[in-house]
Amino acid sequence: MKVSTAFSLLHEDVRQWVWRQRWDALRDIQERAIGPILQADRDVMISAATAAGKTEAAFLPACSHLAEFRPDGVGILSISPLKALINDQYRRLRELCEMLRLPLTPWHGDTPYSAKQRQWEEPGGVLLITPESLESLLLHRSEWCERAFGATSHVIIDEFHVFPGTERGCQLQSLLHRLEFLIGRTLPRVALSATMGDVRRMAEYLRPTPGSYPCEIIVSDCSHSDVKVQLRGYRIPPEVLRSRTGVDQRMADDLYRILRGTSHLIFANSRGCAESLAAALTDRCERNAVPNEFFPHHGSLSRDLRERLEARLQEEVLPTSAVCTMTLELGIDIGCVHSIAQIGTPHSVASLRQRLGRSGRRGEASILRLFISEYTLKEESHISDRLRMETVQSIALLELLLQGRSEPPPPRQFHLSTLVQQTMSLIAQYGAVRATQLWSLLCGSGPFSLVTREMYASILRGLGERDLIIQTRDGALVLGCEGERLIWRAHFYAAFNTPDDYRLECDSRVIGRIPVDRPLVEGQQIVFGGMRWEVLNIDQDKRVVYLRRSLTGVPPAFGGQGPMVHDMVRRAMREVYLRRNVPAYLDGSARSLLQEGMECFHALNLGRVSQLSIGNTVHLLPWRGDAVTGTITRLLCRAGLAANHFGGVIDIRRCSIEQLHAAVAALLDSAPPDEEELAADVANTIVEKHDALLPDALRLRAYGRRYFDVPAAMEWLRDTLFVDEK
Amino acid sequence: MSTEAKGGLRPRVRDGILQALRAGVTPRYGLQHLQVGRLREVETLLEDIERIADGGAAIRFIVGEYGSGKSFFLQLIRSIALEKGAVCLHADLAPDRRLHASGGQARMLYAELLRNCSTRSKPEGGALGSMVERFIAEVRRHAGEAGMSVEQCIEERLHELSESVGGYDFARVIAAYWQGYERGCEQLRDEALRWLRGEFSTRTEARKSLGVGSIVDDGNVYDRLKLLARFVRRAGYAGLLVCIDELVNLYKLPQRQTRLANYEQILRMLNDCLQGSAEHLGFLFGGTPEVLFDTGKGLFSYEALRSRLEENNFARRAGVVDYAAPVLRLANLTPEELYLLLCNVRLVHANGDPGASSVPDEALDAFVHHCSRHIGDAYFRTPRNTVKAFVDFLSVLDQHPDLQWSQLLGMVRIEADAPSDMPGNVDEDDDALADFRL
Repeated sequence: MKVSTAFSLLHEDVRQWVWRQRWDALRDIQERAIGPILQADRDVMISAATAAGKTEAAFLPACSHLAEFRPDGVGILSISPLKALINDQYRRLRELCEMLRLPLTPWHGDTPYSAKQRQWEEPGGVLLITPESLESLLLHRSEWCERAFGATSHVIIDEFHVFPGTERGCQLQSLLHRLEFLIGRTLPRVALSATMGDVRRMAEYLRPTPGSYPCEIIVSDCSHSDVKVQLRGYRIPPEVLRSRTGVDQRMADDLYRILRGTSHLIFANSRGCAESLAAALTDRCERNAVPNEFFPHHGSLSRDLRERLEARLQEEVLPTSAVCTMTLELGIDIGCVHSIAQIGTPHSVASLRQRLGRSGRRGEASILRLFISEYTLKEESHISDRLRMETVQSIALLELLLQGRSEPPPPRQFHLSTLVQQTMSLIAQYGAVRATQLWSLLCGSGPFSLVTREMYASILRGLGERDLIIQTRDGALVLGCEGERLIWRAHFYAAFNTPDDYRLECDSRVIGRIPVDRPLVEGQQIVFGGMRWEVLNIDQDKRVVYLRRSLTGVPPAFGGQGPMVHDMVRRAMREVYLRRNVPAYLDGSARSLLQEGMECFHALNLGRVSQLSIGNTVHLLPWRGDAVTGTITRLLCRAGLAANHFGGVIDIRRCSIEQLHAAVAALLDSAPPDEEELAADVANTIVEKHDALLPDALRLRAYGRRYFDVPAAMEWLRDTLFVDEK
Repeated sequence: MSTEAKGGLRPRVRDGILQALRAGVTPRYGLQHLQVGRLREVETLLEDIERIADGGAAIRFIVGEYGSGKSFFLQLIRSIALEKGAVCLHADLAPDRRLHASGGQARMLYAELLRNCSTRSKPEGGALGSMVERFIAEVRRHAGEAGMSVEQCIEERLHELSESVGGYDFARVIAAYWQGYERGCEQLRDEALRWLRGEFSTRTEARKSLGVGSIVDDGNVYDRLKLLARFVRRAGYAGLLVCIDELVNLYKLPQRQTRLANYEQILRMLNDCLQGSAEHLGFLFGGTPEVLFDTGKGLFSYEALRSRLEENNFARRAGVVDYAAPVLRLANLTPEELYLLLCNVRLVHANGDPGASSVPDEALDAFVHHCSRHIGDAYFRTPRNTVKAFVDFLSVLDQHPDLQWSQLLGMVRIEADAPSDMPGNVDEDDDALADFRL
């Protein structure tokens, strides 16, 4: 093996271990991480593809530091988003830690009591833990944490890219901030991230105040990542979507043929779709007299059924395919699967990458197949079907994925739901706390920096009204009876939740269930089961949307429900049309769909024009993400137009270009509403776990910031709409 | 007993008092030099102590607002009880010291109580050893008179104890102490005292060192206290008074079941004391009103306690205080009483000689006036900080005789109290949250 100067800095026993691995040389990131991590005086961000040796890059120097200094208590606190990753790390580090005589303790819900007991009595070595378990430790074992982590030299965060911008990421920032406060010392953090997007922006999420501690960024030189992708297109007549199951039989046949015999994850965009697809695949197993290996997995199945399936996947004995929704994306543990199948268009590169990450560990290539349906075209087909936007969006996402680009983390949010969780946890941790102390730790220097003292006071009062917190005579805050119930509830440690689907009802008949993760406004139109519906009313406590059939024109095949699509994706779609090249990973059918879409795009001159009048409807194509498109739509509605948007295309019914221009001109002349005002029209603002505990005004403010972008929408209306004609 | 000049104060007592006051804690002795008002309350507790000495039992909940001087009052009663020949145990409850637990926290409370075991001759704690010595001395004298062996005599004297829970092992530990005494084996005596202090954490350890199969553990703390009360009596003391302060720590326990389990222990004590099944034993608890009266989390959330502790309806309607009720409410000091308290502090500072103080009455007036202007009413609602500032003020004047009190007064700063379990400064300049009220 080649020996470098960096290598010789490592502790003798660590070097010994490396020799035993019979490696040719250290990988480039491993080489470069040694110096900065051994120093233990700065944060280090390591960005590299899967299987580039990130784990060793962090642990070789960090363990070497421990072997050298043998601190009292836990030396390395390693945080992973998933139990499966912890178990994986445990396998990889066991031998090294044994050689160094360092205890290595995986710490999560399944850890045996005896292992935890040993740590209670004598904390030490390397602790591998999830954010939720760390939350529980801080809350219930504050004194132990103070003792155990007092001399910790490194915090290592695995799969860091899943955290920025999410509830969990915010919780993690808060936990580490609380931990540092508890021990009265800054802990150097080492973050391991997949290559995605702008690493520097990602590194800003390492600490609540970017730049408050030096940070070194190490990006892998080798950009090699072994991914195999295929996009398969299907043409379906509109009747299929309107049928009870909504499953295209040819697609089911293909899935069965390609996937049976090995283990896979099949992602569908809704529970209904996952259910009927799993049923269709099970049917095929029965028909062919082979054991069933396709099982549904989603939030409304019983926990028992889900856990049995997860266990079966973890055992990796029988071939097993889970037909799942995003519940499996959010931190449920499974073993390794052979490939990923995605049914219907994905919504973001980040989620696609996360799904992809579930396959191809341990050196194999990751395999991803997309199964995309488009309507067979008719005279009156909707413009988004004629543009084949489902196919093009999938291609745009794959292109971004293969280029190693990804949506940047969203701008800093309020994260009020997570703030409620952290407030309750902090009060429980200490017993009795002053309001100013809570604010200064969580908001003043912590991750909730957008929250002012006044806002926080109003949140606390809201919690007080619900008996979640009470105040002693001397002014300190303690948990109220409801607060105690809350913190002892099974899932309190998790900051995120899996929101229930909304039930769609028409004339007291249930027509389906869909996840609703974007603003819904009364009077708005949505597309479901191949039909257009008008939203009459929304009950967000019971999670029901009351609908009425709407007979205004042919709807697009898919209504663009589901998670918000980012600006970057829509811009990449436009590029796909403009560049006219056909990627190699399309099957024949997908290729012809793309051709059709491109022809339509150019026939309508959409490279130049972003507004079209067809019949009595005006279509706008801003090629912007759902936040901007949705905001434009809301602004137009407030100007009295009947606007709706479906997957990036805005439809304005009973309108001409002239009427539109007149309305927009008036809009541009007046002062625009702010995001909070737009949010006030939205009927489903309770999204995150503790949103229901917040004062309405604050919830709307946070919601508006997250889902609307008034300046960008106004800018588009001002700069694009009138320029087009010339 | 409040303001009378004691004509010369021992310097050790004087310094002890002033040191404690400057640190913002209640002095352990010499409290009578400071006490103002509350004559009726003191008398009531005096009766309790006499009842304990006569073989009865007593339990009182001393309830007062934050800063009303609960801890001071508890210490005062403790010092009176010591004078009357009782043994006193005292401890503050804390997250790791409670009445019921499964992780050793109840034993920790017991251990803390026994570390703070005091008698008249050892008012500052650590009196357990001399207590056992006194018992042994008593036994030896008796054995000599009756011509019995000391072992026999110990057995006879503690025979009655053996019948109660854990009493047999208790008697054996005392016997072990005697053996250590006789054989000159220091270690055995230490082990016996360690056992009595609840410092053994495993039975195996106890069996190895002393040959007894039980220890003080989370499950038997109250039973051990009852045993101790009977033992104390046999050692020739008047009885046992257990002072437990900071009940608020039970109130803050974040789990309902844990909290109720602790309240249940209080109920046992209350029942035993009121029904007369406890002997020579008294309990004093200190807490703020919400700890008792909050029906959500306080003692009143436990129905059996609420019905026993509820205020006397007649007394309430008549607007008078029922001093026979187990709950004794302490009113806050009035501004006049605070003034008297400062006079007493001045007197202590001047070694008990009223003429020796360098600070005239008008300086006292000005000081009180200054405080009221500086932090408003809080100055007499939380006497601790006011007294602390006053002692600092006196001490600077004392060390620099050239300074005028009027020059110094403008510099006196009094911090408003903002108690919290979380470390770190409380930013009281923060407008929106400093005086935050839900």
